[in-house]
Amino acid sequence: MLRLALKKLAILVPVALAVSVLTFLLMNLLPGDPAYTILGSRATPQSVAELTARLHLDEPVWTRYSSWLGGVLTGDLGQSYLNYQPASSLIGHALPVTLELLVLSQVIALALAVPLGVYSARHPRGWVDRIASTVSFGTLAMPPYMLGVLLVSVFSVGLKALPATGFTPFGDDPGLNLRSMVLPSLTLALGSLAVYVRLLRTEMISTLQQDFVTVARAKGLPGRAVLWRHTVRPSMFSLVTAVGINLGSLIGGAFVVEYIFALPGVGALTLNSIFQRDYLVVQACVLVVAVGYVLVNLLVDLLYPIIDPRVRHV
Amino acid sequence: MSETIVLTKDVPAAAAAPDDAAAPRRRLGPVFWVAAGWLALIVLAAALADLLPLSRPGDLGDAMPGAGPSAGHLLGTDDLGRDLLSRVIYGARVSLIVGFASIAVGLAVGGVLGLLAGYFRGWVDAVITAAANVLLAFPALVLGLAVVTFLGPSLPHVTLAISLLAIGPLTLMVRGATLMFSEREFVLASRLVGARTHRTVLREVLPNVVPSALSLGLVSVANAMVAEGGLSFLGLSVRPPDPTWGNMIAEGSAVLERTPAVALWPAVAMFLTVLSLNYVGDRLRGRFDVKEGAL
Repeated sequence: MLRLALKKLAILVPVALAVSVLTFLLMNLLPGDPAYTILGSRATPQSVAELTARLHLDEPVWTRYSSWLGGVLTGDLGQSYLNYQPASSLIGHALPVTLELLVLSQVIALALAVPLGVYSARHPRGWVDRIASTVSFGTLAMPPYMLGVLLVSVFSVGLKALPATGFTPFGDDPGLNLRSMVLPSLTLALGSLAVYVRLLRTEMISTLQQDFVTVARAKGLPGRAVLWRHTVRPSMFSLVTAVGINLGSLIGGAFVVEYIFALPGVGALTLNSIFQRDYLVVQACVLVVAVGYVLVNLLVDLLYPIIDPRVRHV
Repeated sequence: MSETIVLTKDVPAAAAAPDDAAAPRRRLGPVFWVAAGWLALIVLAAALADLLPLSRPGDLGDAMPGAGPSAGHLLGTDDLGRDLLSRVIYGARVSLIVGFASIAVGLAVGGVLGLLAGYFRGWVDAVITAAANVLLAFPALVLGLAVVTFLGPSLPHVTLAISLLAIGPLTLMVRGATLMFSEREFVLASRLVGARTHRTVLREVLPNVVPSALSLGLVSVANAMVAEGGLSFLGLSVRPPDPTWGNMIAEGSAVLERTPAVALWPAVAMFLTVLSLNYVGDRLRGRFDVKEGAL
C-alpha cells in the first residue's frame, strides 16, 4: 500500500512540474510586450517599468521560471494588479465555495446513480432501465450552460421556487446557503448522473456473470448480500475511476455554473480576472486548479486498492 | 473531452448485450438515419446560409422585437428584432467549423503521435504518453480558457485551443489501437517479408486504425462543439453581434422572462446536433469495432 502510494507520488512530481511549466508559459503567449498587454490602458512608462522589474521580464525565461516556481512553492502565487491582493488569499476565499459545489453535486449524482444503476442492472431492459438510458443519452448532449439556463427558467422564472443568483456563506446562514446551492449543484449533478448510471449498469451486468457471484449464490448467501457485497462493491471500481475521469469536465462545468449563478468560487474568480485582464491571478488559478485536479486523480488511484483487493499487488 | 473516455469503456459492453450477439453486423437502424439526416440538414443549411431566403443575422429589420413565429420569421425574433432562424443557422457555422476543424487537427496530430508511440514503443512511447497525460492533467475547459485568454478570442484561436484539448485523448486512443494491431499476424508477416517500416505502418496498421479513430472522432466533434459553446457562452469565442449557439444562449439567459425563445432555439439546435453526433459515432463504433466482430 505504502509502496504503491510512493510510486504514484513519484509519477505526480514530473506531471506537476510539467503542468507548472505549461502554466508559466501561458504568460509568454501574450502578444507583444507582456507588461504593456497586462497593464492595457493603465500603462504608463512608470508602471510598465515597475511591472517589468516585478516580473523580471528583462531576465532569461529559465531564471524567471525558477524564481516563480520558488515563489509558488513558498505559497506566493503573485499579486493582483487591480487591488494588490495576493492571489493566494483571493483563491483561499473562493476555494470553499467551489469545493462545496463540487461535493454537493457529486453527493446528489451518486445518491441517484447508485440505486438507478443497480436497479437497471438487476432488471435490464425493464422500463426503469429504458427510461434511464434514454434520459442519460439525452443529458450527455446537454452541457451545463444549457442545463443551468433550463433549470433557471423552470425553477426560478417559471415556478419562482428557488433563487437564480446570489450566495450566502455557509457560516452566515446554513439554510439560505443550501437554498442558493440547490440549482447550481443540481446542474452539475445531472451532467455526471448520466455517465455514472450508464457505467454502473454496464459494470454490474458483467460482474453479475462472474464466477464468484455464482459461488456466492451457490453457497446460499441471501440475495441482498450477493448483490451489495459481491456485485456492487467490485463494480464501484470503475465508478470511482469515472468520478476521477469526470472531474475534468466537472471543474469546467463548475466554472460555467458559478458564472451562471453568480457564486463567488474559483471559476468566477478566474473568469472575472480574465475579463479584467488580471493575468497573474488567472495564471495562479489555472495552476491551483490543475494541480488540484492531479492530486484528486492521485487520491482516486489510491482508493482502488481499498475497493478492489485484486489490484493491491499489481 | 473526458466523457469520451467513459464512452469508450461503455460501448463494447453495450454492443455485446445478449440480444445483439446473434447478429454479427447490426443494421444501423432508423434512428441512425434520422440522426444522420439532421446532421446533413444542419451542415447544408450552414454551408448554404448565404443563398437561403433569410435576413442577415445582424439585421434589425422592421420586425417586432421578441415576436413569436410568423411566416416572415419562422422561429420568431429576439429582443432586438433579429430573425432567430437566421441567427441559429449562422451560429451553426461557428460550431461546425470549430468542431470539425479542431478534431481534424486533433486527429492529424494525435494520429501521428499515437501511431509512433504504439508502433515503436520504448522511449518514443514513454515520451508521447507522458506528454499526452500532461495535456490531460488540465481540466478541459480551464486549459481552453487559459489559451484563449492569453491569445485573444477569435475563431482560429478557439479552434487551436480546442484541438489542443482533443490531441491528448485521440493520441491515447490511436496508440491503444496501434498496440493491438502491431501484434497481429499480418503486421508480423509484412515485417518478415522485409517491408519498410513506413510501408508497414501506413499500409498495414493505419487502415485498421482509421475506422475506430474516425468514429471516436465524430463523438469528439460533439465534445468540441460543446466546448466551443462553453467558451462562447462565457464570451471567449466569436464575439456578439456575430451569433454562435453559445453566445445566443448567454444572451437568451438574460431575457428568459420576456423572450425564452432566444435561448431555446440555439439550445435545441445544439442539443439535437450533439445528440446526433454521439449517436452516429456510437453506432459506427459498434460496427467498426474489429474486436467485437472477430471474437
